[in-house]
Amino acid sequence: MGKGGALTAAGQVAKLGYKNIQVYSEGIPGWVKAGFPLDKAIPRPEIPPLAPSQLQEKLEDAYLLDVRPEESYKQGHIKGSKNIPTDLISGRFQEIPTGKRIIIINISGTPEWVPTGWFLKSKGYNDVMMLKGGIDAWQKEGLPLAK
Amino acid sequence: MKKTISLRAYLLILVPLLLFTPAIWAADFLDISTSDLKNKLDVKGGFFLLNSESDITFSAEHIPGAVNIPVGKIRATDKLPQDKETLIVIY
Repeated sequence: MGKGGALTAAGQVAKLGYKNIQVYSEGIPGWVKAGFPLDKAIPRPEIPPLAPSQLQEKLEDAYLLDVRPEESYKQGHIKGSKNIPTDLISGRFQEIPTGKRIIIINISGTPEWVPTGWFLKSKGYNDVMMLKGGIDAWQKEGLPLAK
Repeated sequence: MKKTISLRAYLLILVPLLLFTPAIWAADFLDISTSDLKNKLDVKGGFFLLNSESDITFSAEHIPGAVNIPVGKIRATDKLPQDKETLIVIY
């Protein structure tokens, strides 16, 4: 999580009455840069990327899963996509139909970091892809967003 | 004379304000360095390392020893230590 997220969490912990709070704003990038190990709990199967132009051709066939926060989704999303934010996926993934190709849409996105895709594969969803570059790339291509 | 005193008084108030206000804004929560965090984890105990990301992101990778409480669940969690004086490190 970025520093902003950690600060939000710190604010909430402070409200609960904890007095001794510190933020590790360097986060995982700083930890890895220093050469320290991470715990990696789940397998990381390949989640193939789709370029925005390729996705536009497949809009009808796939289940478009937008995992951005609800506020971002409301500001503009790919027509026909459904919003389940990453925070809520583990409790709501049953809403996602089986037997359909799922395409994950994030703010940006690289095929090397798709936790939602790895999670869905672990739950038996076999055909999972991701929008390469996320909504940012979609917009840069000048493709339309619905509100 | 009166003017000089009031100007001095004004500067006495204004200068420290300008100098220290940004520091006060930035000091809501102390920042811990990577090496300090590593040292604390090596010693074990005495603090609580909180990861506030989603459970899915946490299960993909996290710093060993961290406990996951997604930011939206902090208010209702029972995972935090009872002792409110415990050091909580958040990332």
